[in-house]
Amino acid sequence: MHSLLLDKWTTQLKKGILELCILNTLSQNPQYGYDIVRNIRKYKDFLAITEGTVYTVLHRFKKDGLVDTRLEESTKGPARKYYELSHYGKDYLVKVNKVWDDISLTVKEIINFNCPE
Amino acid sequence: MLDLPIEDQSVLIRYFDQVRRCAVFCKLDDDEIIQEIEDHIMQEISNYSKPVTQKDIESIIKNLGEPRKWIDENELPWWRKMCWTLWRGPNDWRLAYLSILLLFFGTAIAGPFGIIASFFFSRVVLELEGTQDIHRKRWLIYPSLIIVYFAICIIVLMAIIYPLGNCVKYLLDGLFPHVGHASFLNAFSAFFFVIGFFWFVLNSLISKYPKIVRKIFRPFTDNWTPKKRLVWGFLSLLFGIISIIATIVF
Repeated sequence: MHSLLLDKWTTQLKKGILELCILNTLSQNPQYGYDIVRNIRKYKDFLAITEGTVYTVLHRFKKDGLVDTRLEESTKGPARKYYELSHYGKDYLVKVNKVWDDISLTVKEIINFNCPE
Repeated sequence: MLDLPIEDQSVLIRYFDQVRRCAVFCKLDDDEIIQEIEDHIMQEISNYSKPVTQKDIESIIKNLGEPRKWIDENELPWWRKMCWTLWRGPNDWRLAYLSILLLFFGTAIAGPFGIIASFFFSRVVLELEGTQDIHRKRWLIYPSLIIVYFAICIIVLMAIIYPLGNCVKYLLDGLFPHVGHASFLNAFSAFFFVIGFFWFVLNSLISKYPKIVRKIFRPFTDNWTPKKRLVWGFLSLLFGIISIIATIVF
């Protein structure tokens, strides 16, 4: 029963974190879908996702106006779709990162206060 | 089809078909999704140093995940989302959808048994979730709960009020014989009396047996506090006073 509860809580937490991770992956420079998947792949087991989920999140970002996309011709095959943070996406990322910092600091304080090592 | 160095692309074709089926009625363009999958596969195999085999393609598809994962559920119409949940889960949402479907269709086919079946499904959802995630499912599970709880309250009240009502009518006829035939006025007083009595009984029961009442009338009594007892008590008194005033004045 407890492992079920833990699994459920962990899954919900990681779902929330995934978007934060993908946004930060895009923060440096535009990338095409496969590159983003490759960057996230290292953390695939930790985030408990499948690679297709990354594309779904990217589609949602595009719908929400957080990313812009463009097609670029490639010498190695078909045209590649590049994703890049929009102006709104960059603002949003700053705010989301700030929220994450605040949350993680606060939770750490609470844990240290109540369960000192 | 993709320019892959394997003869049998049936696994790939099947995967693409499943993705297209999942994307039906979705706002997303399924051609765009398929294009991304193809692009991903081609990029993946371009990194392979050895010849690509059928197993490699199957492994890539497995890492991509189920076809359903390519579709954002928020892009689906509500009825498609419901069908999807009914088919694949999660179980708590599946039960909640079954509850509301049974309430409408089950009742139309089997009358009160549909309501009872819907009620049981709603109670199972409550037991699975506690009250944490109920808020999002409330439109699905509350209707049958409200109907059954209301029926329970009416049955309990009628068992108490019916014999009492006869005594009250006898009393009214005895004390105010000149208004004995004004059925509207009697009904007006009786209505407020019943409502006041209802709150009184409920208040008494929940004060005396809070655990039992909470267990029966979940989740509506989960947030009951002793402070609310005063409010309910006041309400019952207010209705009782209105009933008495109506009887005296008229």
